[in-house]
Amino acid sequence: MNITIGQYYPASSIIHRLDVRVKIILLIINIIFIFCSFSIYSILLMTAMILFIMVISKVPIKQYLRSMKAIIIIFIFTAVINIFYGAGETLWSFGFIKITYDGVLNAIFIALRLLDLIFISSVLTYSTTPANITDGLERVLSFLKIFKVNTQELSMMMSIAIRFIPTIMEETHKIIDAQKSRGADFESGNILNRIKGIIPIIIPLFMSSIKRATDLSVAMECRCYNSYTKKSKMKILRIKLCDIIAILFVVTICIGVIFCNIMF
Amino acid sequence: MSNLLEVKNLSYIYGKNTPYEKIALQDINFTLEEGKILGIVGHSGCGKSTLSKLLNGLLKATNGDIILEGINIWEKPKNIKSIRFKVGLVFQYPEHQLFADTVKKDIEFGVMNMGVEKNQIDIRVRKVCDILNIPLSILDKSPFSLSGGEQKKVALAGVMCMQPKILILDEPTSSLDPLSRNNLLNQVMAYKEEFNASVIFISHNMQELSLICDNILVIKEGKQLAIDTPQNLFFDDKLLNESGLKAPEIIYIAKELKKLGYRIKDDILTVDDMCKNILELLGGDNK
Ligand SMILES: Nc1ncnc2c1ncn2[C@@H]1O[C@H](COP(=O)(O)OP(=O)(O)OP(=O)(O)O)[C@@H](O)[C@H]1O
Ligand SMILES: [Mg+2]
Repeated sequence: MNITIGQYYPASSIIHRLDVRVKIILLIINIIFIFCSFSIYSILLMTAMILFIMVISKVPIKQYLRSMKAIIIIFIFTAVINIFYGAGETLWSFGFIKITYDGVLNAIFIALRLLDLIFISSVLTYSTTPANITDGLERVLSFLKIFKVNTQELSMMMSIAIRFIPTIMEETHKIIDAQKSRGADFESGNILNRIKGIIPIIIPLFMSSIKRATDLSVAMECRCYNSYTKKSKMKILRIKLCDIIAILFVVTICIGVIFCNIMF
Repeated sequence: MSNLLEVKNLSYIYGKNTPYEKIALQDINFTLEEGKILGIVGHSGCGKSTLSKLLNGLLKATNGDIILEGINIWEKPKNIKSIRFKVGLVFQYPEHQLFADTVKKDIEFGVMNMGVEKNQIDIRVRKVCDILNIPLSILDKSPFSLSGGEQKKVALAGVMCMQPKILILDEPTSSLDPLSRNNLLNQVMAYKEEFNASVIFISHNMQELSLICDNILVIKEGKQLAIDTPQNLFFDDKLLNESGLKAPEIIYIAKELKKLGYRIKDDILTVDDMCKNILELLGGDNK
């Protein structure tokens, strides 16, 4: 089992050092602009920027490609479907199948969009620890307070959920090992057998998760946790020079994207 | 006598080629004969559980070979399942594997996967319950309603039912009271006698290892420090110091007495041995 998305990759780069709030907001801006890139030049510009960010993040490109693995099928499927779908000048045809210039362009367009989305999100998760991400999300979302949303509770829930992902993954591995050593088979056989094979994993996993949740809630109660008192932060975030440079950089590119949209 | 199991230059690295790389085992060598018991000791995190998973084919060694009955266990990766039936592994935490709605079904899970016939399964279950002293009345209960110690026993029963040639127990006594601990040691011995099996017993407790093991393998930070009989290990001060392990208390008494010039035998392991020796010194007068 290899789920690499959402895994922190330790390195010392300028991207790792950026303020987490800045990173989250820039990610949102990037996503908006990826969707708002209407000309091929805009998307190429976005792609170039994202590649540049990936390189200076000092996370090996191999690692980024790994996060592609999960969606490679969707990726290829969308790209291929788009090739056959389009009007304009015909490049190649065979019977009723015809590939057009527009279709190819469209396919490249969609592929780049998907790639950009995955890569730029991976930059955030590789360069920031999960704890920092939830912390940053809480701060970024704190404007929701004016709508009477309890952001503290929300972020506590999020951070507990994220905190326990590795624990539960580890536990799943242990359970799978234990059942495998008793000859359980999850890799072969027909669908029905495979579904049956999941039961010996799911049940111990549920049992221990429920037990863990109960223990945790009792432990929190014992320490008088409540989400209504205002808590101080252990780390005080301050905007540094590199944050300002990053913001300016992204804004400049975005203006470039708008420019390309209008011109081409 | 031929070697049932042979381990050659075994090494294992977790997360190879990632920033989280961790050498768990390095250059382990040992052999295990039929009907013998091998103990494995070492501090927490020295790689004992990793070794047990390697032997069972749950992990594949980064380096080195595991040879079972003369055949490398990874020679035909497709057959690894049959290796797992021959090398039964009982995990450190039994709650990780109980899932069925009754204890009986849980015990049967392994044998069912082996494809043993229904009536044979019943015979096997009854036999194992007999060896482990599991009351037949709990067979229809839910495994989740049992105590931790009882769950451990059910997990052990599930593996014993498969009648493996090599039984690996990962810290089976860590949460048991002294009486249950002694019972378990006897039950493991009984299993060994019954099926002429070999046992690998992982533990922190030197006392219990000295009682049942023919040989003990000492691991420190993934490296093999020694493999020897309990007697030789316990009287090797240099090794004990190096490994940071402690021999049973009675050994230290024997050593002190020896230092004072008394004629104490070299093969003392238990309080009983010591009593006999002291009585002998006192003139064989045991009233
Ligand atoms: N899945 C894993 N990924 C990475 N490292 C691991 C993994 N499992 C164990 N390790 C590391 O390998 C080393 C050996 O672990 P192992 O579980 O074999 O120790 P152990 O001797 O069984 O300890 P204990 O007595 O506490 O059970 C430890 O340092 C541990 O951190
Ligand atoms: Mg262990």
